[in-house]
Amino acid sequence: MLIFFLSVVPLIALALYSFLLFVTWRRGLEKRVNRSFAVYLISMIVWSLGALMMYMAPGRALFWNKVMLSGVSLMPLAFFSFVRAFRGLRAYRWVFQAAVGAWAVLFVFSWFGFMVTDIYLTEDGLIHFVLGPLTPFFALYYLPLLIFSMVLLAQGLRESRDAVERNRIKYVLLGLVIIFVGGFTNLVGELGAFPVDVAANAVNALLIAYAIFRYDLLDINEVVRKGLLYMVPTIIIGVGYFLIILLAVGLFRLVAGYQIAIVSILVAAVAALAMQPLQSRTQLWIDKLFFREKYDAGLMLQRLSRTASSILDLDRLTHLILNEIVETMHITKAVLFLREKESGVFHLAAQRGLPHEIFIEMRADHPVLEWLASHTEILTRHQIDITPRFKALWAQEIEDLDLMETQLFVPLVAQNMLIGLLALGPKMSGANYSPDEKLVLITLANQTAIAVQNAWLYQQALEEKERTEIILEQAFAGMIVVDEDMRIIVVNPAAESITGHHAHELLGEFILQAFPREMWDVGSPLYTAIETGESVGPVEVELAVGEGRRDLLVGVTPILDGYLINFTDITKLKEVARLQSNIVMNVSHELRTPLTSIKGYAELLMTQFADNPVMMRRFLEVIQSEADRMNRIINDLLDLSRLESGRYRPEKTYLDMVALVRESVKGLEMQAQQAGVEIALDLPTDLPPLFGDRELLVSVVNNLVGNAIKFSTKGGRVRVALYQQDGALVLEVEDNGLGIPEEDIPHLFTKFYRSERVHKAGIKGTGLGLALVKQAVELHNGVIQVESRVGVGSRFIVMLPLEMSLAPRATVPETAFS
Amino acid sequence: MTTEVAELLKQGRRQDVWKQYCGHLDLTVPEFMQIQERLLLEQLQEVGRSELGNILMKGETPKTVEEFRNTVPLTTYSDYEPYLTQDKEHMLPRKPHMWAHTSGRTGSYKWVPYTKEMFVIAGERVISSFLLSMASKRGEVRLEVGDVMVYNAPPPPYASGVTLLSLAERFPFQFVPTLEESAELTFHQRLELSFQKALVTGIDVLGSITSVLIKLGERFAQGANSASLSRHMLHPKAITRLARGLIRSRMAGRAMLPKDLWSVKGILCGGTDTSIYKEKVTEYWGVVPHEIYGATELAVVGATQAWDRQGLYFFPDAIFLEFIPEEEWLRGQEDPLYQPKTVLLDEVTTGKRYELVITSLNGGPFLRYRMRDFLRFVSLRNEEENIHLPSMMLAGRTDDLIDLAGFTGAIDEPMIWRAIHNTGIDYEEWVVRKEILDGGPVLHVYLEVKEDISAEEAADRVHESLRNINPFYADMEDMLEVRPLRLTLLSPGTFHAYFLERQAAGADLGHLKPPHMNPNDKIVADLLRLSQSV
Repeated sequence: MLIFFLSVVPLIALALYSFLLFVTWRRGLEKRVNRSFAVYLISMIVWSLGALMMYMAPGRALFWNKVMLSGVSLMPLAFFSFVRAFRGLRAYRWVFQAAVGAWAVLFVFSWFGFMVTDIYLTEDGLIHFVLGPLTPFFALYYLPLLIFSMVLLAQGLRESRDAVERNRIKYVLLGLVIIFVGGFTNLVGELGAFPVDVAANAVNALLIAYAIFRYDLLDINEVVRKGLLYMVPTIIIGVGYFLIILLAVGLFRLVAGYQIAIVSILVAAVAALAMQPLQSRTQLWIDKLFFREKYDAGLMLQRLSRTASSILDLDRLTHLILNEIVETMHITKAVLFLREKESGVFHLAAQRGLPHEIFIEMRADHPVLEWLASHTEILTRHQIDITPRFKALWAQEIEDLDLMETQLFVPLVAQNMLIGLLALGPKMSGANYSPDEKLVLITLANQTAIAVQNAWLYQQALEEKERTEIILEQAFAGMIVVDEDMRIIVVNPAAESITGHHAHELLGEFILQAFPREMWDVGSPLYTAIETGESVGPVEVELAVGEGRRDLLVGVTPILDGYLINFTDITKLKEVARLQSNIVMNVSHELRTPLTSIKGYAELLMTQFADNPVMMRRFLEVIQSEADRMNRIINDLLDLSRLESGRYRPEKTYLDMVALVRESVKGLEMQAQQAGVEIALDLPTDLPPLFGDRELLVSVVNNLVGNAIKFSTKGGRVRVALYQQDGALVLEVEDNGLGIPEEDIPHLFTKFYRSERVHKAGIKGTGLGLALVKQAVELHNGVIQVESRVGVGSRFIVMLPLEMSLAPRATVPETAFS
Repeated sequence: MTTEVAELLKQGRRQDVWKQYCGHLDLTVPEFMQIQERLLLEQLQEVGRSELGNILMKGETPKTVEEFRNTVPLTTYSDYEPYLTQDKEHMLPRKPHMWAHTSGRTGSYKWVPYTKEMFVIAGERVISSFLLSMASKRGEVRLEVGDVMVYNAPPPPYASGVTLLSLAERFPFQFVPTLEESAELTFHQRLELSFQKALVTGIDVLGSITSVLIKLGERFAQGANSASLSRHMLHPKAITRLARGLIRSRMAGRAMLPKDLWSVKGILCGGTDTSIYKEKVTEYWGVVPHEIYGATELAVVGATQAWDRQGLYFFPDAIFLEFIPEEEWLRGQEDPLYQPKTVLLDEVTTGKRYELVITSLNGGPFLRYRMRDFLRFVSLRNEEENIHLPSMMLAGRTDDLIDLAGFTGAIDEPMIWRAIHNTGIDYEEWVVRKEILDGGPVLHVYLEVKEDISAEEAADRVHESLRNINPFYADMEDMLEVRPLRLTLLSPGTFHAYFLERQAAGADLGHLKPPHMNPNDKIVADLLRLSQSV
């Protein structure tokens, strides 16, 4: 039975080596490394075959032992050859040649029985050898060759700057250690009788095969890490198991037979319960102790995933991420670039380890950026050095890479777009970045990209909000946003002004707090928008908002979670429209009245009084008077139009206002006599001259005094006074005539405005005079005021500043004639 | 910014070696053009700051490739000649690292300044070419540290010698002979020593003129290896090699050939005759020769074949490429003031011939420089080998084109090679030129044959062969009813006598042989004289 078990190991090894040899042959033997590996496999096949046959044919054990020794002696030579090929070494050819010579000698002598002189099977089924005189020489050949192979591999490990290469070497080194351990079992008493060395070689062959064919798919660290993970709990549980059994037997001496099975099941159950938490804790402990960098990187990821997404300040975020990476991975230099949206240029957003004043940016067509955008994986400096696409790099760009000493470029990709990159320089230890670290960096980059994107979006939202607030603040139109429950959530200043409510009175309130019930009625713009879900307007509505009813132009637009009510107060525009209509009516009326007289008198002249020179003369005087009236109306209209449009160019001179008033009043004496009104002048002699337009000021005096005469009753009195007050010249025209009703006073200076009372009293006029006066006074930067009581009389006070008279007008006034 | 190839090989990273040196064959045309465009724009910035650039670009630095092609005139060597001297280095875009010169076929050397980057690239391109010459499929790297390289290139300042210097810095080839030895030797001494030493060292890679390889092969085939006995041949390794060669040849039942002595991994050849001699080189040396296209102005190797050894592919980063289509070239010939239009690599079409126009990159001096070389694009992409770049073949020198009686299907050097080759006549050497006879242009071939054949018969066969190859030639005869070919047979040994006479006169390497196309009157007179005297 023991022989069966002992022969299984070489049998498995034989099968394994044969399979590997087949695979190696299938992969082709053109490469030196494959050829030498094939030779190594052949040596191991011979070794395993010999070992197997010793158990299978004990009668010819000595012969099969010699076969086995042929393989054993060839193995270190083949392995050395493989290591040379594996490392691409041409050196140490002499070592190889010397080893070939030694092997040839040993091979020959071993067949003559100088290595093993006899072999026999013990009672317990184990094979024992009687070693020959050549054995020490064999050891002198065998061990140095394997040790030298190990040295070469260690050299390679030290010299290589490439992680993959180092990984490969680690596999082979590990295999070599296993060979040594296996070989030393031959020296450990009874253990030497077991084929542990064959098994160890089989494991080594598997590792080498893996290193050759699949080395780039598995990290040796991960193998070691997992190995430790399962080994440590196994030891702990094994020791625990042993102690429990020992305790049970020692203390109670009751455990025997089936009771051992019960104790075993109990221990197994405890082990099963303990396994998972123990495994997790062990993993943590192993990582903390043996894989510190991995452990730290994991912690860094946890920290950043907790904090990065909550930081919305881009500058703070980029610095935080870079600091974490640099400090966790112990990197000498690191730069974080972020893409500028408009130009596509990548700007340096944060850096560590470079001079503060450094300026590096990467153009949108930078080959590294294009590569990262299309591959979205880590790019190494080595790849840049060997990939033809990077021949497009400019000398300056290469200088920048050299300056940053970048070893890795990690892309930051969000929504399939490269938004930034991490350029990481060498580690302080000088070690390369491990695959684990690259994995961590990729995970980190994904997190960073999302965090950066969030920060960007936040910044964008802030800018958008600021922009929207400015628009809302400055818009002439009122804007109110309501949510789906018709609660007001936004109110702009124009809306406050139109509705007459402060924002704090409206926010959070129902819409009817701002608008009357009609706004909510069926057919209203808001109602229609809610019903149809589409934009409505702008529609003219008359609503009672603010003080009194107002004409509003209202539009309603459904937005994401509510409605935007956009409205403009067009009350004044409507009034202007109405006024325009009145003006046309008034002008027509005012022109038609004298025209009717002219036409009437002209008909009378032609039909009835053609032979009556007296009547003819009287009628012609009337016609002339009415024509003059029409002329005045037209002149007043034109003057007013010119004044309002700002096209009037005043002729400035220093005027003696006392003389001007006297002269004007003199021209009105006839009218005053006819009306039976007395004009009293209160004009001082020491007034300063006024810098103004004579024609305009004459018009002011004429209109004010003429109106005073017109609206005075017979026997009435008109007082015209001039005086200086507070740097202004004041003209007062006072009468004791009809007086003006209070409600008419605000409209006195509106063109064509004539009160119903005046109209009914049959007092003629165009409604242009006072409008003209106001324009003329304002053109002199003056002010006109009215005080009046019905039945008592009126007083018009004109104040003309002496300093600022006739200064340029600040604005062009609106006019109904424009 | 390259990783040393030897280091990569030591680390077993052969795929990286392939990627770094042959990866340009994996590029697409847009990727190729992007490299070209970016490097050109960088170059223009640098040239624009130099005195030479100011003179050539008239103080305006183009910002785009189109602007560059529209504003900068085409140039020739005479535009640079006054400035390409060592005392005017300050006028150049970048300080030269070395100066190299051409082989001087036209009688005077063309000196070209090599910047450090150009010098590095020159060596790298040769490594690329050797790697490809050894490969039979994509990704196959057979180069090994310490490979033996046998060569017969002249020493610096010949451009090929400068390239060898760069190569030696880039890769630890075992040069046979060593570069130091080579500097002291004549061409023939170098040749003899290299193959004698190669009997000991073996040959891994071979860089040579094709005709030399043919000559050596012929000497082996005729069993007339006259190599003198040297100490190298007494070396045990040489004896072993010779014994092995003898056994191999006896087993094959033929005379010993170079391939019996050496297992060459790759042969690098340049020149128009490479494709003609391809089969013979393969027969003698056991390896298909790998063709490269190079010139001093290109930083030596400008294009190389792929592993299939068909068309040549340009490298993307040594020079900026433009091509003058043949019709534009002809228009320029008719009107010297006309600036021929160029196309870029992504605009070329197959079958057409183009004159190559280059702009140096990496701080070199040339701007839109006419190479006077005609190329023919043979494919725009190689589906079989999955190469997505246009490939071309050298169609000779524009100076060497012969245009007869206004028929624009110009006759070039490879065409004559092929025509003579196709006749099956066993010949030694030839020259051809356009001559005016009886008021009309004729193509006059001076041919030295190795067999007994009359001049009339030889003329008939060459004429028929030319008619089959060149439809314009045939059209000309049909339309003009004249046979535009004259053939003069030269006595056996004429070309060899010419060679010896030139050597005795101390002629430069480039002038030992007469040019194939359009030799001048003196050369023709010398050949005729020697033909009568030998």
